[in-house]
Amino acid sequence: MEVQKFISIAPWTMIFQLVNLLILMVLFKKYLFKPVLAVLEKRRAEIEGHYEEAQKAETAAKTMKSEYESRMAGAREEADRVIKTATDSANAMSASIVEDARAQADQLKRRAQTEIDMERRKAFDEVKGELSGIALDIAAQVIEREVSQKDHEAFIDEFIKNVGEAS
Amino acid sequence: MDLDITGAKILISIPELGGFMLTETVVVTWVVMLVLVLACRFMTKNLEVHPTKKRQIIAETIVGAAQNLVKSNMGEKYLGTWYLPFIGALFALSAGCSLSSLFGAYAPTSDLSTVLAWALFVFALITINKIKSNGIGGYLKSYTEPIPVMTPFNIIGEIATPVSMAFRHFGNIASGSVITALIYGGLSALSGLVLGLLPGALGQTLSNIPIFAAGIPAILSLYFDFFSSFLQAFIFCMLTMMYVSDAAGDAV
Amino acid sequence: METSILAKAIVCGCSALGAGVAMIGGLGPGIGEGYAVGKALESMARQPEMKGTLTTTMLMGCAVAETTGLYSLIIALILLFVNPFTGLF
Repeated sequence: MEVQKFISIAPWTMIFQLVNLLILMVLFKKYLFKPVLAVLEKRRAEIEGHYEEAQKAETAAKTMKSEYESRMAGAREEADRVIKTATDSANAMSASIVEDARAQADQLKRRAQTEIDMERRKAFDEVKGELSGIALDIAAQVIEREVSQKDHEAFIDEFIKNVGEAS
Repeated sequence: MDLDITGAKILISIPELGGFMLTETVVVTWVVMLVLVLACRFMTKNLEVHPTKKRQIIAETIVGAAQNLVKSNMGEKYLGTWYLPFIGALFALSAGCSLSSLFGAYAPTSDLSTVLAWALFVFALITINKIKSNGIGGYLKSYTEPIPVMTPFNIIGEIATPVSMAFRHFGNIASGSVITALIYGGLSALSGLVLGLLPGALGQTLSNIPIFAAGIPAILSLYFDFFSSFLQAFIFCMLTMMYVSDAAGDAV
Repeated sequence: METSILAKAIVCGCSALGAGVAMIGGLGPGIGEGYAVGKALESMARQPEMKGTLTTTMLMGCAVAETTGLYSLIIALILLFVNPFTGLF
């Protein structure tokens, strides 16, 4: 078999080797770099997607939190307001009730007073009428004993006076 | 004992076709390429976004290392270009060809034609990039700098780039194989000499078997084949990247 | 005929001598690389965190510095195995 010299330059070998290198470059690009880079790119996109999602979730949570907080603050305000109005109305109501009660009590008192007065006058009148009857009876008895008109009147007046003092 | 230190075997030779010949170099390179491409196919089979298989992780590591190398030596803008697979292929082919001597095959990189072809291609890339960034006038003018008297030296310096790249790679690998062959031959001769001292038929038989040549060359080949292969491939790629990115300047 | 053999013998002997002399060039890279490695070790001792970069750069520099030694080696190999002068006679 023929053998090349130890140091020799063969043009055909050079061409072959250069073409071999270029072919290997193309094959490397096709079979190694392209698929691996595609997968890496896919992974990067996926991670970015995850990241974006996380960020979105974070912003959503943040807005929810702020909303909740504002709502809480609103609710507290509302509660304060409600309590205040309730207290106010209760105060007003209690005041009006007390006023009413006082007015009623006054009315009742007044009515009772008038009734008492009326009752007293009535009783007085009754007693007066009875006394007149009694006086008439007494007068009749006295007439029998011939009592003068003057005596009679004095007697009645005295009697009424006594009765009035007694009653 | 005959110790031949020669080049590649010529397998097919057709002198009528412009001196066409198919040498051992080319055939071994094809085998190396086949192995490399099959390895790539195997590693990138069924790639997943969430890697579970070791081979995908290895493939990603290789790609990441290549990207890192190109990015740190040439710049970010070269990542999407053909330079990335070119550097990868150059490194893999150079290292693979040099390592083929581990399996007893002829190392294609110990043929000057191989590395000279690669170096000339790199030189063409450098020149193209220089012309692209400076224009053809600027490129020609750069030879007369700093003074026109320097022109021959500049030309020699320019030619020295591919020549030194080729001879560095070739010299390392070839000298490794020469030294390995010399030591192998020397140890065989030594074992023949020493064991031939044994008396009778035993010495006759044993002296024909190169016993001393069994273990020691393996340690040497660990340096000359393994370490030197990767180192030379790495240096060839580094020099390529540096020269090309230097020549290109800011333009891609 | 006699002269031709004699000439060839002289050429072969001188080629071998030339190869040996050419390998004196191996001194330079040896010294240079030793110096480079020593400096790199010094730097590594000073800044151990730069070890990776230093190792890479050192190997690069060593490989480039080796070039001259390799040139002499190639000349020696040419003289020994691809002798261009033996064909002259």
